[in-house]
Amino acid sequence: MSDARPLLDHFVAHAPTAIVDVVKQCSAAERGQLEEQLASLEATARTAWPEFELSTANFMEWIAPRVALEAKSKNTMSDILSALRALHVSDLYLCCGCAARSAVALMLFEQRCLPLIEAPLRRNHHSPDRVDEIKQQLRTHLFTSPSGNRGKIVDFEGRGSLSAWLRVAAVRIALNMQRADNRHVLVSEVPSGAMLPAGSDPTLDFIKHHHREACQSAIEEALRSLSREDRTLLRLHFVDALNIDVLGAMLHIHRATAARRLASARERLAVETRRLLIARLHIAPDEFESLMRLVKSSLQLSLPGLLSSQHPKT
Amino acid sequence: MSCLAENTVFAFLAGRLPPAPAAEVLAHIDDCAHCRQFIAGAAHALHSSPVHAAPLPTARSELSRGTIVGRYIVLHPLGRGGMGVVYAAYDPELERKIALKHLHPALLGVPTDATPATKGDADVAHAPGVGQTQRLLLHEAQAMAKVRHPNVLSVHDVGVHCEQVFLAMELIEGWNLAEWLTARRPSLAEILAVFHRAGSGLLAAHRAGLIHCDFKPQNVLISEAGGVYVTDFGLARAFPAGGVASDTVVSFAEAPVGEAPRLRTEELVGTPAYMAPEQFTGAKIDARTDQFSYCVALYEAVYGERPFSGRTLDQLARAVQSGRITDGTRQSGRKVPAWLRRVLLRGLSVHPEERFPSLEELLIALQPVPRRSLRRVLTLSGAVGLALLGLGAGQMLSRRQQLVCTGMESKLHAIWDPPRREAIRAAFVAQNKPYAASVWSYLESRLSAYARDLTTMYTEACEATRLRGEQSAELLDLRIGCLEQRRRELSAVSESLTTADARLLNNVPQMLDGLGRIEECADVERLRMQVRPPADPRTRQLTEELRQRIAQIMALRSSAKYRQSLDVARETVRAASQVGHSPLQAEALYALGLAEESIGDAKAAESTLYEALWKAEEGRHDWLVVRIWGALVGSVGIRQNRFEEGLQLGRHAHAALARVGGDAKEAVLLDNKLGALHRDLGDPEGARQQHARLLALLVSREGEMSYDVALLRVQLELDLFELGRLDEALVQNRQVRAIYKELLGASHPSLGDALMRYGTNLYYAGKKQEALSAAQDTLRIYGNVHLPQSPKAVVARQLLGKVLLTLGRCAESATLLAQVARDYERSSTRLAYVQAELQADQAAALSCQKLHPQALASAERAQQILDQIKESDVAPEDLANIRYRIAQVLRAAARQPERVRALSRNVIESLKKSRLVRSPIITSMLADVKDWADGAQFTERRL
Repeated sequence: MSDARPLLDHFVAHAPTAIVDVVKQCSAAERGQLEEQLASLEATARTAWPEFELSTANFMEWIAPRVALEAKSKNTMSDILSALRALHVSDLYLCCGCAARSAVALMLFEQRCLPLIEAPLRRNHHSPDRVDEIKQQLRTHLFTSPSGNRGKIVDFEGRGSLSAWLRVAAVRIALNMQRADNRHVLVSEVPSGAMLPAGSDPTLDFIKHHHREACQSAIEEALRSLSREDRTLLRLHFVDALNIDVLGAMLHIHRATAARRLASARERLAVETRRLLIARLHIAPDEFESLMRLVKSSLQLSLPGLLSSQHPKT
Repeated sequence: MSCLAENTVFAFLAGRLPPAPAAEVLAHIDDCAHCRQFIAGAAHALHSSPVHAAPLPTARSELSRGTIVGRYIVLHPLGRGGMGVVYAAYDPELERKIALKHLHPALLGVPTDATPATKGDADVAHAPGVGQTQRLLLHEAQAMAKVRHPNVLSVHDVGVHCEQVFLAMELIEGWNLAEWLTARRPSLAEILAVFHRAGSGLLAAHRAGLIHCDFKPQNVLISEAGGVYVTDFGLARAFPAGGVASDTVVSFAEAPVGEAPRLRTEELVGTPAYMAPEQFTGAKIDARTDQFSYCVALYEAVYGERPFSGRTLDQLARAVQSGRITDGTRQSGRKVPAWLRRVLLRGLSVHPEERFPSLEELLIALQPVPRRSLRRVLTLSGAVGLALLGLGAGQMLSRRQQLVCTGMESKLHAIWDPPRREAIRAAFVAQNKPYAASVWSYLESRLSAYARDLTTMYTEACEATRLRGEQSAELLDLRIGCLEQRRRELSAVSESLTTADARLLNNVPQMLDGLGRIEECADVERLRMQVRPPADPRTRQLTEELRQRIAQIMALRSSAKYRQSLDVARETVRAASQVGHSPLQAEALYALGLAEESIGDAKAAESTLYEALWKAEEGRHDWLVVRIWGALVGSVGIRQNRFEEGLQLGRHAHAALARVGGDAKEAVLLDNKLGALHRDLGDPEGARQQHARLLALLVSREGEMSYDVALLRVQLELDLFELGRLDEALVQNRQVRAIYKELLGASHPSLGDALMRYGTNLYYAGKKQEALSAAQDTLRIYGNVHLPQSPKAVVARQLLGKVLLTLGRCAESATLLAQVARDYERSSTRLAYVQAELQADQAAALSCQKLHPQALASAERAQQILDQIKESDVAPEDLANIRYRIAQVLRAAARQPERVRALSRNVIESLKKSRLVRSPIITSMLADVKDWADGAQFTERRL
């Protein structure tokens, strides 16, 4: 490798062995292609961030370990090239600058990236103060670490956009915070405290008293009989309030498919609960319908609770 | 599998995870709630767009800002309830804010994907997918929109948005009744007044054929302006098989897969705690059901506990159905009149036919005046009058209200309207004091509330008689008379505020304190005791004019215009004696007595107040008698130091108060003075107990942030200081300062006074550095208010000098004290012992710098002043300090050992009387003089 391929040299020096192996075995022309590709990535990134400049060495050092070949790839130069093309290279450039503690990069991150996490957090009913708090924790999380290393910013691999990645990180921080201050039970109508006898909610008591024993165990058992997928689907829908649009997007299926799956999981749960109850209460199927109305209400009432508390270790 | 890494979740959501790891993720979140929540949250963050509402009534199914519902734009959620979420929204057409209630989707059917929901808004009648439930609900909501009544929350508009029914309603800023009851701790009269208005709203709906079905305190709103509104009419009933409570009981998906599941509701109607027996049993519901719920709510408000107890719904249902009512003595210390309990018990009858035939009867029965015959006469004559005006019965209510009962607003015009407020604000700003703004905002909020309460009660009182015939004309006269007097007081105060000067600014709290309490005008018993106005119209008019003058005297006095108040008072007394109505004469004399006391003429005040007392007795002006005895306690006991006599007068005052039936606030005012007397009589412990008891009482009535509470805490602080319990006194002082800061701002002179006491306390506690900054802070505030030679500034500067001296900063101390002594010479009121102390401390500061000749000269001046002082008038610590300093100076200059010994013995004697024995300052002083008194010989030397 005597010919001048400055980017390639830096790249190979830090790339994973699988890639180094490919590069070693490939032709000079292919190496030329790679050099060209790397140069174009660098140019793209630099155009995106004219405000600060990273040395080629630094940037290649940052990119190389983050190039990962697809599992099904045949480990050829074209696989490397397409992996490189898939990288969100401008985002990586900024991250690299931040990790190198470039004041300009950090400022740009602050101005252009952090605000992007606000909207989804707001949509999830975090107060502006809470959003600020989350942002602050995110900064700490990304740029500092207890051991003195660079923070979690190194984990951004460049697959998928930085803004999406940041939003995911922000969600985790938000969840941890909520857990910390026990606020994930969102407020419902709180009756004025002093006027109420403590801890009594007669309507709920009524339901619990009359149906709980009969229904709860049947529902629980029916839940356990569902497949993990069905159960997860129900949880995501009822407890975490994901609508079918989000469910569909998350599971990479059409929203109609998500709705169908959800409905059939629900149906399976209802059918199974009903079967168990008939068996246990020894009642005729025709008497059952009148009872079933009560069951359904208790199902609706207890399902979110059951789903969020019960985690069968099967 | 351990918890999911962020990148895994990221890849999973982006679809980059191969099937096997993806399945692992799904399996993991079946077990791990944390990761599931994480994934769900991340999915939301990455995929959700604001237009979709989540399908179930979790908190997240909210509409986001900017969503268009009907013609309204959603702003932000205001609250969530069983019925749905309420948002603040904007109506661009009428350019106003409204409240938008979006009813729970779960109540109406979950739109599912299989039968795609119609997004957006649809014509109500033709909206596809609008089920039976929604139609019923819409029907109810539309009926509700037709009810127009001042005590019913107006529904402007009803419609369907995304298959959910919404109501556009008036936006009320304020509390719901439950919050109001908890926060305000209202008097019985206030509770009854508010419930009466809520009841009127309920009645209006009943007349329109609507039953509420879920009346409870949470469904009654009270606006900041004092309006009372019932809301959520009939919604509970709109649901098939009964309705839902705030704890929504719904069932789901009975329909086969692929069809939109419809929701069923459970048999329960209403909120259990307020439910009538027929609601538990599913029997027929009618207007009397609301009557029952209304009585439960009123019972709860009056007694502080619910009439039926039960930890479970079963127990509750049994208690309700068997009519087992608590005896109502447990929670509130309130004395509930027997008639009220009787009325409530009837409304709470198990069988509807045993309750009042209608809510109207109940509301009449809830009026504390059992004068049916009079009322009938009145209603009749009222109706005739209106018939002559040619109004149909249907129009009567609203027209009558406009015609008859809005008098107070117009009367308040020019007394407390925006131009007047602006004029006062300008007068405040012109004073150029740093605390003017905070004092203004305190004043404005208090006076606005006062005006508001005045209007509310006026309207209430008027409507009760003129519109609803529920109270007698006689009582109305008394109430209006009382309210008129309050209006005059407000007028006088507002008037003198327009010419506010710096002194007035300092006196704002006292001024507000001088305004009579409005709730007195709702106290029927008290009003009955009030003197009847003279029958002759001419005398009556003169009386009213003079009462305005009396209000003016009080306002002038509390705005520190003492001379002027005295002049007006003298003139008023003359005018009143010509009218010859003894209660009026008594009031005028009382005002004169107070004015005389304000200028420091306690002797004159005493004889005037006795004159007032006799006139008041003659005219049976019983409440005034109470006040006059109280005033005499002040001018005889406190101002003239006739302590024992003061206590005697206090007993008279208490007896008079008992005769009129007692009143907590009056008792507090009186006992506060008596407490101070105890302290002056050398019984600070008795005073402390008295004050502590009063404080607890007052805080429970008014909350912590009240000026009266601060005044009482000052008394307690003084008691504790007197008792030598310096640390506890400091605690009180901190609280006092917190209240002043909150109410009056950080630079109000009252705060300066408190800081001054703080500094003195710290000085005696030996906390020199802290005392130094306290003294400096005091002077910073006083600098804006007082001239350097004014008594308060002198005392503060003297403290600073003393502290500097103990810190060893002798040169600064000497210079300062010399200057203070010179300034004090020019002061209008001089106290000899202050002069002596200034000289003595200055001498010590000079001596400390080895300037013995000057020091000795100062010490001799101190001695000369001391020789003319009546020692019993001076606090033992101050007396001891003067002699101690003289002795110290003589000793340092090695002069007159015999005299030093004599002085030292004197100091020891004085300190035996001091209670500050644990003060480091006193201890070290004592140690020194004991040394000097015994031996510690030194030889005199000549300079």
